[in-house]
Amino acid sequence: MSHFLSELAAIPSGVQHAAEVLARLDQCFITGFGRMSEREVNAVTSLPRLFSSTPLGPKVKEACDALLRSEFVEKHFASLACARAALQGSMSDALLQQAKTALGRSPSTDEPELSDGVSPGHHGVFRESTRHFLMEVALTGFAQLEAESVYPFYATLDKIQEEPGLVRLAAVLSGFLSELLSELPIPTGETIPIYRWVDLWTRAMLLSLSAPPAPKTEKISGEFVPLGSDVRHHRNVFSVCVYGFLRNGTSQRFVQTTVSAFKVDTVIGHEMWRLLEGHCDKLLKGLRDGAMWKVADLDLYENGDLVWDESRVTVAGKSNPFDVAETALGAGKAVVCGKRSGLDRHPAMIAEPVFLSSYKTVKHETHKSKRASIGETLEEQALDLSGSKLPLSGARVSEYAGISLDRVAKSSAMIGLLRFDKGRWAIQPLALKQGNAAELSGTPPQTLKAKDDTVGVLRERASKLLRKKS
Amino acid sequence: MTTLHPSEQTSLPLMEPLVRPRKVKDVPYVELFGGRVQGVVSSGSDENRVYVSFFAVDGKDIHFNCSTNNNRPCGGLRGSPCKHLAQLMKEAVLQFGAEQVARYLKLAGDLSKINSERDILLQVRGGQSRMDVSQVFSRFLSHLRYFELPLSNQPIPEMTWFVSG
Repeated sequence: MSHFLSELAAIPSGVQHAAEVLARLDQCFITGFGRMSEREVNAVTSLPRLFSSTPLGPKVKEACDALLRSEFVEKHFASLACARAALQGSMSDALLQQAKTALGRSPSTDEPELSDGVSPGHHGVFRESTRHFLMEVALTGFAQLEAESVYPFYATLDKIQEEPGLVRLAAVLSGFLSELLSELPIPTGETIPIYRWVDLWTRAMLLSLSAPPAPKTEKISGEFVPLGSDVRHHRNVFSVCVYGFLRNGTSQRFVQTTVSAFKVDTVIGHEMWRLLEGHCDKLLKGLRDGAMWKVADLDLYENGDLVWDESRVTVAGKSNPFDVAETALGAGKAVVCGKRSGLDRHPAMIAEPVFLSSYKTVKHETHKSKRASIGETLEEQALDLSGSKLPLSGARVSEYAGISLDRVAKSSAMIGLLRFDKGRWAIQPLALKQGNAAELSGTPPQTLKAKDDTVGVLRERASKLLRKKS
Repeated sequence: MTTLHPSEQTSLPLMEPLVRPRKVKDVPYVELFGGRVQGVVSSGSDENRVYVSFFAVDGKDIHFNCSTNNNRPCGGLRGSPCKHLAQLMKEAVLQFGAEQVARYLKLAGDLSKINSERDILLQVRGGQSRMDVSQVFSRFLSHLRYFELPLSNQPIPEMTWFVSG
């Protein structure tokens, strides 16, 4: 029997075609829609044909015609963001179908039930100002963009960060802006991470259109068995996403829960975990002890997001994810995952859990970096499973996730997430089995307080100076 | 079929960490912003006082200033950078790397040869800037504000794009 991986070697042809369309469109964001040359004009001219038989068709046509007439209005850039996201949504659908089929799982085609999101009236101003800023960025183009035209937007971003209801917009804008500012102005000839930046631009634009639709929510009780965490961070946000099984009687669902804190650029490394202390202590304890949690009446969104609430959670006994993973996550096993809404459908957001064993690590590509990060050393390697190769997704692994090449090489089994990026499938390790022990990614260190306590020093400054001011 | 450049099909390019670790006790804040290397330096004698300092690019010159958060001029500033400014530069080099700070200040010559804050300070040929430090101090307060923002238990799928920094 051929390994399921062999079915992932070639990607669906439509996905490749869509990637080429996106690459041509994204070029406009480098040059700027305000100064398009023949190449960009061709990209914009040919875009509407692709959407002609879709509900977005008329809007995309209207937007592209207007841009070609140099009629620069926010709503046209919003349509462009929707078009780009829709294309990625269909890529994501095709890819997920491919992965599910390869794994012998039935692809879920159900659309989630969503209701209109609600948000306070004053959010409208912040959203409008965000759309305006994003339009200016698109008009200027990354190649011409100067830091001076980004700085003023911080006045708005400061306000957005203060609104819990806008936390997604705040997170993407803070990360995008600090990344832009660290690169601007772009030296001539320098490669721009174009797909990424237009992704971030698109996400921010979508989130600034209106409040994201509210997912259908149910109250759930049971046991939450962690399978490992994604540690995500940029200059101003630290976010931990714990994946796991939610078990309730005989039913078992694959879910994820996320907690996040704002931070500053000097809070890095393991000290980032300190930001969660005093707020998510049960989460930290469970992760540290390799334990599961008993949860009572937690909100579970239909897309699989479990809303963490310390007051409804208790740390329960030790758990070994490999006890359940082999039977629950092997190829051919049905896994109950959440239903994905439009905003969740992006190739980068595919995270299909899978159990792997009987592999060895082999080098498959070489990077040339002065000081290789953990991610880079992983990225060079692939898992060899009876002759089929599956690259390791090093780009997904934070330097502080606790996963290293050495650990992967020594492990006998793995729970991972199938990920898609760079036009190919790859595996992100979540949990590694060594002997009978399980090592989970994103386990906080036993002691967090560093010798040079950055968080403590700055918190003290904040309490003194910010109080004094008010 | 066209071959796409890697940057044209990756949401998550491998990136070198943007920042390096440094202690914040003496210099709680340093940034490259608005054409300035700027920040806040703790007073050696009074824990309630901070010095607000910056170097600003102005054509071929680099001007500087240092005063307390109450706008009292720093006594050590006599035509050349004071010890607070030297401390600030040292921490800027630690956090961003000498070459990046040098590039930001638009220094001339082979910037890969710039290795320390000394190499940079030797090229600071300017005088005391007339810009007052209040806007730098207000940036510091905004920076501290991040510690007062509430945590979130809501999904933030956008953080999928960020694994460094």
